[in-house]
Parts: sequence; C-alpha cells; structure tokens
Amino acid sequence: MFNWLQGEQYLDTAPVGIFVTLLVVVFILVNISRAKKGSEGLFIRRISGLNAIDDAIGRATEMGRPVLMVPGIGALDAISVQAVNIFAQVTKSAAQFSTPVRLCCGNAAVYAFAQEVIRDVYSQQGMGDRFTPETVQYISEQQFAFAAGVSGIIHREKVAATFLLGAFYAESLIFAETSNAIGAIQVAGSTQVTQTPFFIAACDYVLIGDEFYAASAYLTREPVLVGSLVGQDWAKILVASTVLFGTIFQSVELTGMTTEHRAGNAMVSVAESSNGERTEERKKKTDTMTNRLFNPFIPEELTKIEREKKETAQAAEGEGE
Amino acid sequence: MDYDAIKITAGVIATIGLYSILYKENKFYRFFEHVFLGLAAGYTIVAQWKDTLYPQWWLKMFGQVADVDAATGAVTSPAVPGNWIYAAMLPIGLLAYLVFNRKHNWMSKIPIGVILGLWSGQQIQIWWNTWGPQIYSSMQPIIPTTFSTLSVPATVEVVNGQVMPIQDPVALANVQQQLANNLYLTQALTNFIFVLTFASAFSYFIFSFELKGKFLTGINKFGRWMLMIGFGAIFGSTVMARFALVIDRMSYIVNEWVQALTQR
Amino acid sequence: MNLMQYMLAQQAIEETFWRKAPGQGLILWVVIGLALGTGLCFLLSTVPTNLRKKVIFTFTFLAGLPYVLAFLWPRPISADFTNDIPRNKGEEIGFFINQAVEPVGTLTNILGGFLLGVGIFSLVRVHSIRIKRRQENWGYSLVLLASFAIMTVVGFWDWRLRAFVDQTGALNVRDNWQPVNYAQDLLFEGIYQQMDSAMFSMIAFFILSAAYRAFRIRSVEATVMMASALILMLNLMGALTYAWGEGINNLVVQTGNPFLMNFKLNVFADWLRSTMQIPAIRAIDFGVGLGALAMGLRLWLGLEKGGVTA
Repeated sequence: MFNWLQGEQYLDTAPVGIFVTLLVVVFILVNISRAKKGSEGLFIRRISGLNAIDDAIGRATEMGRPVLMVPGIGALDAISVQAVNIFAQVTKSAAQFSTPVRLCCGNAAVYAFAQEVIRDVYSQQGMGDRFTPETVQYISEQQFAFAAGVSGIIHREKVAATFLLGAFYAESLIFAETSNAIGAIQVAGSTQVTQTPFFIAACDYVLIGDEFYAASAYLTREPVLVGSLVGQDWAKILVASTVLFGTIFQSVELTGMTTEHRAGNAMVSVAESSNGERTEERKKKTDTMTNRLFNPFIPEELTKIEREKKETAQAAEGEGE
Repeated sequence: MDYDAIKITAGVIATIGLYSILYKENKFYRFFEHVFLGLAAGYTIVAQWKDTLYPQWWLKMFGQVADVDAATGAVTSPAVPGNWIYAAMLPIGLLAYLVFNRKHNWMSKIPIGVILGLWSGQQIQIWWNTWGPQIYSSMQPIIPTTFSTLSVPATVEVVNGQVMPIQDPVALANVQQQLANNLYLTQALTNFIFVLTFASAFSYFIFSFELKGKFLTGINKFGRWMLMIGFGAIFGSTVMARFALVIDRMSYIVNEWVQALTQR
Repeated sequence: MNLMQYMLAQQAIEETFWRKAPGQGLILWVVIGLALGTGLCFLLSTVPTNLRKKVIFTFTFLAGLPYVLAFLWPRPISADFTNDIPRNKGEEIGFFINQAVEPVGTLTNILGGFLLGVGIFSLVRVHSIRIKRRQENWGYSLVLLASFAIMTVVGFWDWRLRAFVDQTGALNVRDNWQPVNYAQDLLFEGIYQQMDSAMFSMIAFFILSAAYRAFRIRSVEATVMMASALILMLNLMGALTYAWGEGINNLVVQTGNPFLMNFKLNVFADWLRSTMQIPAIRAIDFGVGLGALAMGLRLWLGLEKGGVTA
C-alpha cells in the first residue's frame, strides 16, 4: 500500500536514525515547553569558567582598560551565534561599569550579526553613544592575518581581559599567549577539541566542550535555553545508555556461533569443512544484530531500480555512442 | 639583483618583521601587521569573487555559451542555460549592508537569518549520519571469548638472541587466525577501559542533574582525569608538528635567502 | 566559430521558465530578476514593526526546510536526480526535494560572498576615520588601505588576464608574464604567503611558553594532562623511541616473555590514544554535536532569544 513511499532511509533498520533524531528533537522541545511553564526548579551545575566573567570585567574596570572578545574564525553558525550571545552578556556587564569592549571578528557575516546584537545591548542600556565603529571590528577573513591583527590590538590597547569563545584553530595559542604576556585575564572555550588543551595550558579559565553551549543558559536562566539544556541532557543519557547496553548486548552476541557471515548487503555461508559437514564459526562483529541496527541491510534487488530516462539525457547518451 | 632575489628578500624581511613581536610590540611589527591585513583583505575580495561568486553565482545566472572547436566544429563543452532568478539574490544579500542604517537595520537580519536557517536545517539532516556510526563504534565487546591465554598471543619470537617476527609461515598464519577469531582477556580489559572512559567523560557533561553520592562524583572525577589524558595526548602530538613549521621558516631564511643572494 | 556552429551549440539547451539560453534574452530576464529582488526588498521595508520578527522567521524557516524534508521524505532508491523520470507521485516529491537541496546549498556561499563587503566596509571605515582624525598610528592605517587597494587591483587584473585574455595558458610560464603578473606574484607568493607561514610557525614559541607554565601548575589535573602530553612527545622523538624499543627487545630476549613488547613507547602511546584519547574526545564531541543540534533547532524554529528572530 505504501509502496510509493518506499525510500532509501526507510529500508531495513535505517529508520532508527530518523527515529533517534526525532526523539532527541522531541526531548528538547518538550523540555523547552516544560521550562516555559516554570523553570524555577530546574538545576544547572556550576560552570567555573563563567563565574570568572564578572571578576574579569571588574579588573578591567579597575585598570581602566578595555575587554577583548573574539568569537573565533568560524563562519556564521551556531557556534558564532552562541559566542556572540555570551559576549552580549559580557558587554551588558561591561557597559554598566562603562568599560570599553573590543569585539574582533574574523568573518564578515559574523561581524554583521555581532554589530547588530552588541549595538542593541548598548542602546538597551541607554548608552548608544558609547557604541563606536571600534567596538565591533572586522579584522580579516584570513586565519593568520586575523591572528596578527588581533595580537596587535591586544598589545596596543593593553586589554585587561580576553574572552576567546568560539571556533578556534591553530591561532588559539597566539591569542592566549599574547594576552598572557601583557597580563590579561583569559576566559576561553572552544568547541574545537583540538584547541582546548592549548587553552587549558595557557588560559586562566576554560570552558570544555559543550559547557560552551550551556553557558548562555547558565548566564541568563532563560527558560528556553534551560529547557533545551535539560533536553540535551536527556539525549546524552539516551546515548550513554545505548552505548552501555549495546556494549553488553553485543559482547554476549559475539560469544555465539553462526553459519553465515554478512558481506555488505548479502549473506555468505561459512565454507564447508573437508568432510562435508556444515560448520559453524564464531560470529564476527558484522554478524551481530547491534551492528545491523546501525548499518542497515539493503536487499540487493532494491539497490538497482531501473527508471526511464528523460529525453535530453537519452539524446546526450546517443551522442556519446 | 634579479626578481627572485627581490621576492625572497621581501618575504624574509616581512617574516622577521612579524617575528619581532616575540620580543615586544614595535613599529616594525606594526607596519607589517598592517601590510598583512591590507593584503589579506584584497586577497579575500579577489578570491571570494573568482572562487565563489563567479562560478557559483555569476555563471549560474548568465549560463555559459557552448565552446566549439574552431577547426573541427565539434562542441567541446555544451551550452549551459542561465538561471535568471539568481539575480534576485543580489538585493537580498545587499540587505545586510543596512546594518549601518539606523532606520532599516532590522532588514540586515534577513540574509543573516537565511544563512542561519540553512545551517540549522543541515544540522538536523546530518546529526545521525555524523554520530550514529560513532555510537556504534563505541560499543566495544567486553566479554573475552577465550581464556586459552590471558594476553594476546605473540606474533614475534626470539631467534638467536634477537626478537623477530615468527619465521614459520604456517605458524604465523595460525596465530593471525587466532587473533582474528578471538577476543582475549587483555583486549576485553582494554575495551572495558574504553567504554568506562567514554561513559565517565560523558557524565562530566551532564549539566542539569546534580550528581550526588560517592560513586557518581567519583565517576565524574575519573571522567575529568580521562579528559585531561585525552587533551594531553592532543597537546603532545601537536607540539612536534608546530616545531616542524619553525624549522621550515628557519630554512627559508637561512638556506633559500642566502642561496638566492649568493648564487647570482 | 561560424554562426551555424554557434546555433547548433545553443540548440542543446532545453529552455524552461527558470532556465534560459545565454544571450540577450537572458540578460533581460536577469534584469527582471534583479527588479523582482529589489521590489521584494522595498516591499519588506514597509512591513510594520510587529510583523518584522515573523518575516525574518519565515526566511530562516524556509531556508532550513529543504534539508529537513530531504531527511524525512523517503529518498528515491538508486536514483539519478537529473536524468531519471520518477516512477510515481511519492518519488516525484522526493526528486523535487533532492533537486532543490543542491542550489539551496550554494546559497550560503553566495550570501556569504555578498556579506564580505560588510566586513571590508567596516575595516575601511575604522581606518579612514583614524586617518581623517589623525589619530594615533594613523600612518599605519594608510599603509593598510594602500596595500588593500593595490592587492585588489593587481589581483583582479591578474585574474582577468589569466581567465579571459590568455586563452592558451601562456601565462603559466613565467617568461610570458606581464608586469601585473609579477606584481601579483610578489605580493601574494612573495610577501603574503610568507607572512602567513611566519605567523603559523610562531605558534611553536607560544607552545613552549604555554607548556612551561602548564608544567609548573601543581594541580592533579594539570599533571595528568602534561604527563600524557610528555609520553606522546617522547614517542615522536624517533631516536628515543628506537633506543627504548631496543631496551625492551633485550628484556624480551632475557626473560623470554613477549608480553613486555607492550611497553615499547610507540605501542604504549598508541594504546593510550586508542583507549583513552579517542573515547574521551568522542564524549566531548557528542555533547558539542548535541549542542549544535539543539541550537540549530532553536534557531530554525525561532526560539533562540539571542538569535535573529526573537
């Protein structure tokens, strides 16, 4: 009946992927609506890197020097948006103490976004005149030109605190060590695990992994964000328990024997032994049910469906011959 | 002085200029920093046009006239029709420039919203394809299937006081067969550590439940240590690669420059 | 190429409402497209304040929709989306979605390309103000603007020569270069690329100072991290790994126990990576992936406070 609805992702166990994705989506949306009804009871554990924000701004205020913020060199995506959201909070605190901020962008789209957000923060605080062209700056799209430019700003403006949050690559250490050299407090966090160790080595406070994403929920306690964070936690527990259960289940499966092995999308019988008896072999990893759940089995006949070709395509083929 | 010598000398001076910040910020560095930023901006504009906008927008919009070989009259590349609606993207993209306009700045959020919408849609589409295989590969078997030996059988032997791979091909094939078919206790233990590391590191990123009790806090702490081992491993593997870069620069200054200056 | 051949070459094009053969007719259509886009923008500028968020949300939502649909709607099995004819209604929709995803994907690049100018404008504005007001370091701003202008002109000129004027690829040989090609080579290969490498290599010095400080921190965690870093670093020093391995070999010969082979530096480092680094990093990446998915969902559905729609 639903033959016409047959599609690649609905063969064998492949809907598992869609099912899990939708489940995670539901987790997030349900918790957002739960939190909207009342988020007082929802708990978020302490994230030490974020408690340092006020200290850092306080220090900058005492010294009368600016606060530098860098949202990484990534394109405009969730990471950059999240970084700018955190920076909006930082700017809000800084504006209250009239401490100047410098937000240096390495991507024009991120710059346009940050410009809009930070200007809003200033005008909401009634300090629209303090927002200058230098508050949010575009430096360069090129990784190391950006690094050179930001290093120059760190040195010349003698910033008191640096916030390095976003997608960083090799240039992370240049910023971290340069700020350290002039004695600035550094709060850093990158979703790029390859850069986190350098931040840990060089910076005062570091957000590890998705502490970065949790940051805005932690700082604002906005119901939508807190709810989403709870939903993400549910999804994490789902993933972790899947891994633990799958580990045990697959381990037990692997102790069993089988008469045929899976080879791609086909089953191949175990070679018969010399005396003609049917033989059994130990199951391989590809023979388990757990494996099949994650690597769907698409029957051979379905991988080759013949369709009519369009006229133009036929003509093109004809020419080729 | 010929062109090559000028080119390499300019490069060396620029390199030294940037390096000078390691000592302290100075006028020499400032000069080259600004040259660098200027060149990078110019380069970005040209590259953005010729690598992205020209092929992905301009040519899509205006199509391409067929290329015909003048001598034979054969079509070498067929004509491509132009999709005129691509032209409508220009005004929409230009809306972003209204970010500087006080009255209409809200409209700059339209192209930004489109970019973010595209990104978001992709996330939902690719999430499982990215992480599904990783969930599976984290399920490492932890029950040994044999206890014939506790550790993995060796593929080496001692011959004349030296460690060599097993010499007899039949014996070697036999050992390899055993390795492929069995899971030994030490392997199972290693896999157990793998799963434990994964689970404990994962528990560190649970934000909304308070982890209470000795067991859970212990797991959490263990997870943090495992994270640190992982970070350390990344740190250690990267250091050497970075030193290779410095050595390359030194060679550029010392070898290539001196050669370029002295050879002619 | 004579007219006859030209006509023949054009004939292969199957014109539709959206796709026209190159030529004067197409230019007219492009102008219509421009006018439509501009008209839409003017229409949008009249949207009352309370509907603005909805307008932005609509754009955001529509942009993300094709991907979500492509994920959910049954993807036709083993189909060639450009040349095949769908077999039934369900496949027709599947074909349509999958054909739509490709041009939608290039939108990010195209819009990103247009947006670059916003950044460049900011750069030029900051430095022009500095020059105009004779602020501190204004001379350097002049340097920046000058090198920007020169690089842009030279870059486009060089590209024009290579892509359109030079049909035979003669410019790939340096003997045929014109002054502008030399200028481009000097600025890009000679100076820009070298500065790029210089900045990149500088990280090595910073890594040393960072490592020195990290080794001095007396916390358990920092010690654990630097210990594992040390093992990996030592492992990458060929001579040391070799000497250590020979020592282990001797031990194996003396004791006759091949299990000791596991304590070779490279074997141990590999074990450390595959047993501890990979799962720990994977745990982080999972969280980050979920964070991105949740953020994507919030942005797409207009729930994110700091996003563009709320």
